[in-house]
Formats: sequence, C-alpha cells, structure tokens
Amino acid sequence: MKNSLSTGIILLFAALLSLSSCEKMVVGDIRDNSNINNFHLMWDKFDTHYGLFLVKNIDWDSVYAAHLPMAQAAKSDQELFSVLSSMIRVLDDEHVNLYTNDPQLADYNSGHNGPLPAREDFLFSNIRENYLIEYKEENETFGYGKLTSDIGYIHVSAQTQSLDFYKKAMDKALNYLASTKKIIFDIRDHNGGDDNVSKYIAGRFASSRNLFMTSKKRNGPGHNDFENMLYWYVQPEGESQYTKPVILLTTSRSISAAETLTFAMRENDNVIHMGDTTAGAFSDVIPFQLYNGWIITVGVGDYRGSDGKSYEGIGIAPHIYSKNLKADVLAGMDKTLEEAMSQQ
Amino acid sequence: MDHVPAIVKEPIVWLEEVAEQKKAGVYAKKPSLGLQGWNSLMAILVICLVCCFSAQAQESNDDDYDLKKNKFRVGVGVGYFKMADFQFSPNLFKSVRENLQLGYSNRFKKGIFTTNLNVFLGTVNLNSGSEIRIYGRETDIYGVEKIETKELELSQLGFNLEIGYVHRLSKLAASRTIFYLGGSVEECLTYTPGFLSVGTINYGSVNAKAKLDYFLGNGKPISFGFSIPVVSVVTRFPYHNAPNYPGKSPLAGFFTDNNNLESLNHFQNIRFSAKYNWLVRKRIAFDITYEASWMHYSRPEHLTQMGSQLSLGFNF
Repeated sequence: MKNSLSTGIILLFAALLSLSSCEKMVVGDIRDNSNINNFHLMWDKFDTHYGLFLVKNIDWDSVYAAHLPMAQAAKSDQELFSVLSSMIRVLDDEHVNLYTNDPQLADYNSGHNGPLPAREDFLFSNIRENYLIEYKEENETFGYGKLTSDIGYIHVSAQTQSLDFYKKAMDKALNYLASTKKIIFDIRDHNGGDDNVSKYIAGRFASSRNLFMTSKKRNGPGHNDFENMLYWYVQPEGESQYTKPVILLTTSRSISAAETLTFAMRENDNVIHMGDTTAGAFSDVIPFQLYNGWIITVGVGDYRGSDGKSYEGIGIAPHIYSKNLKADVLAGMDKTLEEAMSQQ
Repeated sequence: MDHVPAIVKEPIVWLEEVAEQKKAGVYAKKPSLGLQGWNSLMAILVICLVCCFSAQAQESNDDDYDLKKNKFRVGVGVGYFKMADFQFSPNLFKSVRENLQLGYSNRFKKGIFTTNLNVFLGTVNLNSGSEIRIYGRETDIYGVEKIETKELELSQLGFNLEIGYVHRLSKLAASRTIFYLGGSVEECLTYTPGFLSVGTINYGSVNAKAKLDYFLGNGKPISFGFSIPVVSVVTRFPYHNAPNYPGKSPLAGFFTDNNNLESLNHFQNIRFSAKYNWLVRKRIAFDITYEASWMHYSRPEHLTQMGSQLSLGFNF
C-alpha cells in the first residue's frame, strides 16, 4: 500500500513540477525590454494595424528608417520617449497616444504634439451656473434642462454607458423638452464612446433614413488590408422623435464618437451645426502594451462621411462658425451659446 | 462598451471609465464579495474534512462510495495561470483564480457519464509583479497642470461547462487499473473586462477524453484524466481588436464574423488531471483534484495560457 501511495504522490508532484517552470512554453523566446526592441514593437504595431496610412499618405517605412538611428542611440527612457513621440508625431492623429509609467514623462498625444492642452473655449459650469434655468442630470456625462421656457438643452460629454442607458435618458429628456420650440444639443466637451449610441441619439431627431458614415478596419498586415465596409444609417429611433429645430454645438475638442454623432445629426434636416470644427479623429482605437509597460493607442479604422470623404485630421466644419474667447469663458460667459439661443 | 473591451474609441474616456469603475469596485483586485464567499466556503470545507476525518478514524470500512451510481460534486479550488496574449501585449501575465465547481456523474455498467461546471473569478497582473500604471498630464483653463495616475487593475472571470461520456475498455484492464476512453462537448468563456482584455477567448469544442483508474493498495483509486480538443469553434477579438458593428451590442459584435472552426492544428487545449477520493464513507466522499492545462491559439495573434488548479470536492 505504501508503495502504491508513493507512486501516486510522485506522479502528482512530477506533473506539478513539469508545469511550474515553463515560461518559455507560454511566451516563446522572450525579448529583452531594450529601447530598440520597444521601438521595433511600436513601429510594427502601427505598421500592421493603423488604418490611415493611405488616407494620410504616410510612408511608414521611411519613418522607420529616419528614426532607427535615434532609437539605436537612445540610452534612457527620456531618449526613447523622444524617439517614439517623434515617430508618431508624423501621424498627426489625436487618437494616437503614448502613455508611460513614468510621471516625469507622462504622456504624448500625436495630434497635439505633446500632452493634451487645456480646453479654453468651453466650461460646462458656466452653462450650469449662468444660463440654465432648470437642469436634470442623469449622470455626470448626460443631462438636460431648459435655457428658457421655449429652448431646451441637452449636454452629452461621453458615450461610455450602455445603449439602454441612453435610450432611457433620451426618453426622459425628450419627454421633458417636448413643449420647447428648439433644443440646443451641446457636445463641446464630448470625448468619445460608442458609435451605436451616436446612431441612436441622432435617430431621436430623425424623420427619415439616411447614410451618415462608412467604416472599415484593418484585417491584415498590408496597409490596404481592410474588412468589408460597414454602412451606418441614421433613422427614426425610439417611441417619438423631436423634429423641431436642433442646434448642435461642437468645439475642436469634440472628438471620436462625438464626431460620428455629428455626422449622424447633420443628416437630419432639422439640425444646424454650430461652433468650431471638430477634432478630426473618428476611428476606433485599441490599446497595446510595449515591453516596458508603456501603452500606445492605435486607430485601426478608416471612417468616412456619407459623401465618401475622410475627415481624419481635418474635422467636420460647422454650418455656422463660432468660438468662445478664453477671456469670455473665464468671465462666465458663453457667446456661442447665446448666439445659438438667438438663432431663428 | 463597459462589458466588452477594446471598442471604446477615445483613450481619455477609457481612463475615466477605468477610474469610475475602480471607484465602483469593478476592478477591485480581490473582488470583495466573491472572496469573502470563497473564504467562508473554504473554511466550511476544511471543517467538514476534519470532522469526517475524525469520524472515519472510528468507522474505516465504509468504502462503498465508489460503487454509487449517481454522484454529485461540489468543489472549490484555486488556480494559478500564466498567459501571454500578443493581441494586447508581448508581456507575460499571471492570474490567480478562485473556482466553484459543480458536477454530476452517472456510472453505467460499462461507462461513466459526467457533467461539470466550473466558474472562476480572479485577478490578472503582470508576471513581473509590476503594476500596470500609466500617467497623463492635464492642464485646466486656469493653467494649472496636474499629472493623473491611472492604475489598471484587471480581473478575469469565466466558466466552462463540459458534458462527456467515457467507456470502459475491458481489454486494457489489468488487476489494478481500469481504462476508459470517450469524449465530451465543452463550452468555455474567459473574459477580462477593462482596458487590456488579455486572455479573452470563447470556445466550444468536441474533446477526446481518456481516464485511468489506478487502484492503490488500500483499494481506492487514483483517477487520472486526459483531454484534448479534436475540433473547436473559437472566438477571439478580431484582427483589429475593435468589434463595432451598426446596430449590434458589444457582446454581439464579439461573436460576429469572428468564430473560427479549428482543428488541433490551430487550437490546442491539453488538460491533465489527477483525483484522489479520501475520507470515504458510505454515501459521501471528499476528493482532492489537481488539474494542469496548456492552451494555445494562434489567431489573430498568439494566445498561450498554462496553469495548475487544485481543488477540494465534496461528493454525495
């Protein structure tokens, strides 16, 4: 009996031991966390996944060639950060970021050529404190109220909740604002989220079905390897639609899903787009971690407007241009909002 | 977007969402609700083991349990896994999972039918032990600059459900061994919500299974199991990692145009187990089970995961 038990125990521990030191079985040959390996990894990730090389007419191979000597010479994190930042600067894309795990280096945004600058043309607290006579907040990114008894106001600053959340929130908002003569829809500090929410929200103001956007995403290593194109339509959504005038407000910081929402809203006949040109960064982005723990974000899609044109790096220009001055904002004023309120 | 990751479009939103979810406890390193429950369950199990051990000391010949036709099993366990998911990172991650297992087996004259459900919940960290922390610099309208720190704490959850049958092969039986051969169908989902969804995979597979009961000198068997998928339907994030389709939820998007029928050539999931029943009485038994697994899938990028799991089961 003792022998049998011993055999079993030995077998068990043999199995345990066989699996306890096999990291190579998991990751294969582990590459060093060297500056040059991080450089190669980042370049390759963009090469195989970034969706806008052709749209932006970027020769990524020449970017590699130009930066390789600097990467080889880089000795410190600071130097590596400079090389990698310089490489993605070429993309000029607000969706492309480099996040480090060093508080001194912090982060880099390709479109802004540095960290995100301050937004100086909009403060929601000004609206809340100086313009709204009533306001109901569903959460900190969605609220609605009235500027006058006839002018409704909806504020959306992100679309990161579930679609059900927006269905309920829009029901509440539009029921509450049903008696108004127009609505000002404010997405001037909207920093992105779900495109299906864009499609739904715009559908609450739609009276017909219209194509508002196409999208396609990388599916292979070639710069022209894309999945089939997807067609996005805005159409009447929900139990009722608000078809009276709507003024959509944007700034240059309205980005990503805020821009797909802008695409969709502009297909509705009752919507006037006012404010500043949007950021010009539409695509879905994915995170990827480098050997050193830094994280990059890569835009993998090619999104177009209903006219077939790409507005990446360009943004959507408003029907009526208006931009607040920093001094006015600091003084608690919102001239763009006032202009929107006075629009007939 | 908050359930299926890698689709949210704006990184800044991700970070805010991560922070919000951290506040809400979604990313809690040790899911407090689950862990307390697990600890209690483990404590109860250990107490039961001790009580039964004492009882068995007085009543040692009640080993009819192995002949029972219908058996149910409730088990708890802990697993330790390492994984590399090149779709998100070239780095090695480790995961500690706590498991709850439910099982049923029906012993026929020439075979055994089994059903097992394993539900797990755990943490995911870099194997190096480093925190997944990133920094972002922000400036407000008044010119005040601040550095935002975001620590990305990942959790992992999932289940696998397996229904199988193994048939006794008399020809291969010896005085101290019984050999079984058969198959199973299995559905398994592993999901890592949040910023880096490392290791997220769903598969349904038809497995080949083998079981060997080796009887020790005390008349009780150690059961060894081996399983390998013959054909599988595997779902991973697509090449671009951002499933986002008009009119479809994130979950539906994950399963859209993204399910690949795979042979052993592309999807490997090799599992080995060893189980020993102890403290056997007439109607109940406890078991200790060790399971080891190695899984690899090559599309669209390599995902490899290997680990061990130790569980204690209460059988009745």
